Amino acid sequence: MKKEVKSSIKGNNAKISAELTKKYSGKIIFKDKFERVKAYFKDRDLESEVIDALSN
Amino acid sequence: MGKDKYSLETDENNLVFEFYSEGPKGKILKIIEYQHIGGRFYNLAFGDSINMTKDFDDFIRTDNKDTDKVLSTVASTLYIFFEHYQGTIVIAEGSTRSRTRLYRRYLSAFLELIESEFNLLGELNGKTERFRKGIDYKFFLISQKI
Repeated sequence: MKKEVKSSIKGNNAKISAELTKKYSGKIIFKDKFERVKAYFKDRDLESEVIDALSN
Repeated sequence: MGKDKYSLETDENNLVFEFYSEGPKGKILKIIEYQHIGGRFYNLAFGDSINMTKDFDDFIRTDNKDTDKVLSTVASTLYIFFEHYQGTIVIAEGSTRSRTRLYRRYLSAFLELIESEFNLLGELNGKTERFRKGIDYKFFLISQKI
């Protein structure tokens, strides 16, 4: 069952759309979220935190 | 948890994905955006189109009775994203506490499967650690195992 789910999730393809490329080029869609997440991690050394967490 | 997923469309950079949720509330356009926030970190933002316009809202609770299928579809974009952006780390947070809890339940249910291919971390109160079940993390951090 797990293998089935995995291959199903993994196997999803996305059709590249020129329309989407044009529609979203150079834009941030969820701007508020982008600013909020960026601000939350602003003064953090997230890279080091990740390395530390993975080594534990 | 469902293995079904919706068909996706993406832009040529594989940073924006669109799909339609289908259910009792009708056809709802959903969008997933991978936002580069610095270094090798990308934020995964996800929401609905407001009345099929160009405006999107990540706070909407659609309730289209297809949560598992929607989450499986969002999860499937991670594989596509990591294929094109190797070595990056994706940050995910629900737009509301209930949505973050929903993500946590989904990640917990698939933890064994996820951890076979991905590193999964949780962030809470300024501390980042390996994801553990039952903790109300604010953010999830996902990277592909190499």
